Amino acid sequence: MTKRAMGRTILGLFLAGFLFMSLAGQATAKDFYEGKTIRIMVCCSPGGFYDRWARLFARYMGKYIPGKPEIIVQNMPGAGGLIATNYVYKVAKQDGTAIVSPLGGQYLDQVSGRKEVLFDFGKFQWLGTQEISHSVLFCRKDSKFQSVDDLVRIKDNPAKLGNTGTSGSSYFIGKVLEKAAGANFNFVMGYPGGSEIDLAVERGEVACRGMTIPPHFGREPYLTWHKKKFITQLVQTGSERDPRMKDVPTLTEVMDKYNTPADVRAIARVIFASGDFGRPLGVGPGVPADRVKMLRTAYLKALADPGLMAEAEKGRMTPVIPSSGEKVQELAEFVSSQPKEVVDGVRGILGR
Amino acid sequence: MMFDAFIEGLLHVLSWPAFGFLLLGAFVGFVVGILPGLGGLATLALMLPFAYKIQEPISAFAFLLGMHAITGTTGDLTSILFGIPGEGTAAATIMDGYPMTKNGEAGRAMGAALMSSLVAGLEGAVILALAIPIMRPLVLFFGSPELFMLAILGITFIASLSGSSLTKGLLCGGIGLMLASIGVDPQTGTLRYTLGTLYLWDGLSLGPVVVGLFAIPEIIDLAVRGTSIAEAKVEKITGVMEGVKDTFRHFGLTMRCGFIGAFIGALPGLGGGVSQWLAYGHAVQSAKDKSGFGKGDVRGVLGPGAANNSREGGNLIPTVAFGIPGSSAMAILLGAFLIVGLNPGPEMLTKHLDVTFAMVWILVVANILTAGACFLFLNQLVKLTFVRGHLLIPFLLMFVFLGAFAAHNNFSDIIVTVIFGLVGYVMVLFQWPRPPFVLGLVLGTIVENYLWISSSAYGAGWLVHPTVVCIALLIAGTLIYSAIQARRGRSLEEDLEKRIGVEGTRQ
Amino acid sequence: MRLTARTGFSILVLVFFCYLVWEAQEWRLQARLFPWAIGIPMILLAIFNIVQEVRGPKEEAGTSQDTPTDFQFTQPLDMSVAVRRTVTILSWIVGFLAGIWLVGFSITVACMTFGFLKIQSKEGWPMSLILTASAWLVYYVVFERTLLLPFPDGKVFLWLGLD
Repeated sequence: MTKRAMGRTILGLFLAGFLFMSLAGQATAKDFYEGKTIRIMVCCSPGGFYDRWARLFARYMGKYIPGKPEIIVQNMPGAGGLIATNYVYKVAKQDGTAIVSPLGGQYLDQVSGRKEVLFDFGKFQWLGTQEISHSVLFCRKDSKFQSVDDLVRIKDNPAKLGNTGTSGSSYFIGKVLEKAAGANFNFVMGYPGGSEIDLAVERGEVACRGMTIPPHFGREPYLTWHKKKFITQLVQTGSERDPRMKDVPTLTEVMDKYNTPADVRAIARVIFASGDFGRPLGVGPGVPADRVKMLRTAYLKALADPGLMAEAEKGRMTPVIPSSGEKVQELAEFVSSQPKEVVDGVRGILGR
Repeated sequence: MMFDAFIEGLLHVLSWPAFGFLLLGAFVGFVVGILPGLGGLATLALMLPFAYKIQEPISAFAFLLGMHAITGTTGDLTSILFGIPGEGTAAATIMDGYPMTKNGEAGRAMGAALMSSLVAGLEGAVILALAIPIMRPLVLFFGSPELFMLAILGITFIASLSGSSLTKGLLCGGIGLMLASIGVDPQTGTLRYTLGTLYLWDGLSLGPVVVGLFAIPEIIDLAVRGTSIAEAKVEKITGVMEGVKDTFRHFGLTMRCGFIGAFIGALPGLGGGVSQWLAYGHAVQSAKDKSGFGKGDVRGVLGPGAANNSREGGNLIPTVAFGIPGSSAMAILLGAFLIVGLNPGPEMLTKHLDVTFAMVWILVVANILTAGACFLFLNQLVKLTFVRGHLLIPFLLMFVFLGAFAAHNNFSDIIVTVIFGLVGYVMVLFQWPRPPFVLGLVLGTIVENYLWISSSAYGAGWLVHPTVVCIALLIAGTLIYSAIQARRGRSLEEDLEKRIGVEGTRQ
Repeated sequence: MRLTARTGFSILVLVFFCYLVWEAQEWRLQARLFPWAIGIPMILLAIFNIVQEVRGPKEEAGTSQDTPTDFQFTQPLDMSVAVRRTVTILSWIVGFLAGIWLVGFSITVACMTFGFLKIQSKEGWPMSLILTASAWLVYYVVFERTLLLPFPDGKVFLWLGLD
């Protein structure tokens, strides 16, 4: 054997060894999840609410799944959650080892016809959501804007509403209020993130901001703002009033008052369904039904785990208002099968 | 009360197990940070889950913050040794640090980077401590118009970073500014230059671009030369001490750049990449003789080295005062705050003041530890630069690719790294300067967004805000100053040439 | 020859700006304003740059007066050797990228490190094997096992249906 041929043989063996190692994990076990690793693919960067919820579940869900698989969290941020969501729908194995944590409003990309969307939100198999996260619009207490009526009345120098871009809750609330009640806003666009909008509110650069409710009662600077009565909440998007904002009207109440036509209501319903989705977890469309059932059960059991609850409370991720996988599924199917008029209306509001 | 908290903070840090976690964090930070291509941000994100396991606030911070403080410094070391930045925000040290290594002065460059990091790290901690009573007004003072003006100030540095050809420098800056507009436009939601990919929706991410731009050309160069990284074997042990002395020789510069780092770091919304490049721009602009920059001027190491570390102190200011993160790393730390049950915000300045001071102390202790540990290992590290390049290249490539991937877990980042590696190669080949390009890329989004915000929130009125006018005067001042200096430098050079011509010899 | 390549790059820069400005024309004003405000002056500047380069004096590359604030490549002893080496290392870099895409990180890291050491650097068997093993172990222990990064599977495995 020449030296060169020997080199080739050894190289070949080397390659074969690596191939073997990467395939070794495929052996079938009696219990599917035994010895397996489930990955939760998170839409967003580490440290945020989506990430922290996923990590909580990663630590509590495994023990309720037969076979006690290990669960790890992997962040796949980008394109407003589309990268992670597309990945779990299209690329990841459909064997129940990949769970997605998309944005609550991820379906809006689908409804508004973004061609980059590779998923059908209604075909994901949802495990459930641990909280609803509707939105709230607030303005500084020392501004002229203390109610939706003020927003409608004041046309000159209207309320300055801080936004990151055209896909945040602030923008959605503003646009829907414009359409549904004839409110007036000066949309100030382009802040790098929500924190910068908060600073701008504090500084007086903008008067108002819209945001989701859980962080609004979950962290600074809002806690101090509530305490010092620095801001007034004008409207909330849930179907019922949040117990912490008993005297703030819901969007439905506002629309009743302003006799908003049914077509606009339908559009608002689709846009703010994101709040009912909260921070859902789901698996791809091809995952076998028995595994989905296992995961759904484990999900609910984990949510009932006192350890998880205690940690959620400590991280100010309460109150937890869970919905089951079946309920989320129904909602997902509802928003993904909207008639053309509604879809066009949503697109019009989102400016796409 | 304040003094008590100050001392109490120190005791917290030195108590067990916090101190043990600090050491552990420092160790992890050192090991991961010294791998080329892996930076502090990625490390912090990857280590955050461990905060769940620690739970006790001070220990958790000792671990995370200590680790983070160290990766800033070790990132500079990889920039100097291999020409590969730890992350996009730490690339400016390469500009002069790596050429110094090629000249056989790796020890001196690392000594300078370490010492300036230490000095500025302490400076940042002092600024943080001093700023505690005035944090809120300080941060609120800088609105969008002011941030816009600061970004413009940064853009004027493009001129002094251009070197010989101003035209090419401006063009490079322009390319950077244009590429900064890639992604979903915040004003209208238009997808700008995304080439039909999802990846580009968020714009080009700085890390892969900068790593590609700087690391790949150097790897190519290393392969072409076929030697070790260091060409000249003039290195002596004294090199490190020389770098330490350099820090004090240019103490004013180090302190000024430290201040720039802390100041920019304290302003949320400017992003991590800005401060180091501004510090580098300042180092170049304030130098009388600019010709050595990019070829191994130690001042080009001191400036960014200093800014990189004082930034952490600055970043903590808005994080602590408002619960608003001053950088992406702080955003991750904010998550850690919540995990361990602390609520950053005004409470941190009253009820939890001791924790705040403990954080100051963690920065101080971690900086001293790093410097100490690094000085122990420096000579071993320097030896790496004498290893045959062909042995290093596969490792460097592996780390570049792994680092590019690890930041966002996205394969496209690796493609971007390679593409910008080729761009960087061609730029160096045809002598187009890369720093203005990076500056443009870093500042483009800020300029555009804050201009829109300023004009929609204030109309044209923001143009006459007193602070805006002040910064405008500052910009005009620096431009005039550097123009005068350039002229003076040139006449000095001509003078010298004449003399050399007459005497016919340099000595 | 060098001069034409140099000017070629300058022309490329001009084309780049023209393309970006052209691409922006159908956007709404707010989206278009910034790219145009930067891009259009840059087109003029790029034209000026080309004119300057074509008409300018035959510059001596590499004098200290005419260098940007940036690195310079080491001037090679022999141009043809330098070109050959550049092409070689570029193929390794691109090959590494292609490898990751085709067969995933873990195999590529091993094969590329080993291949480079054995074939390119002409190291001996023991040296190549030891260094390859250590590189792969660092990759595996730190990135796969400890940091749990979601490395994508190679495309080849997908095509072969092995996944």
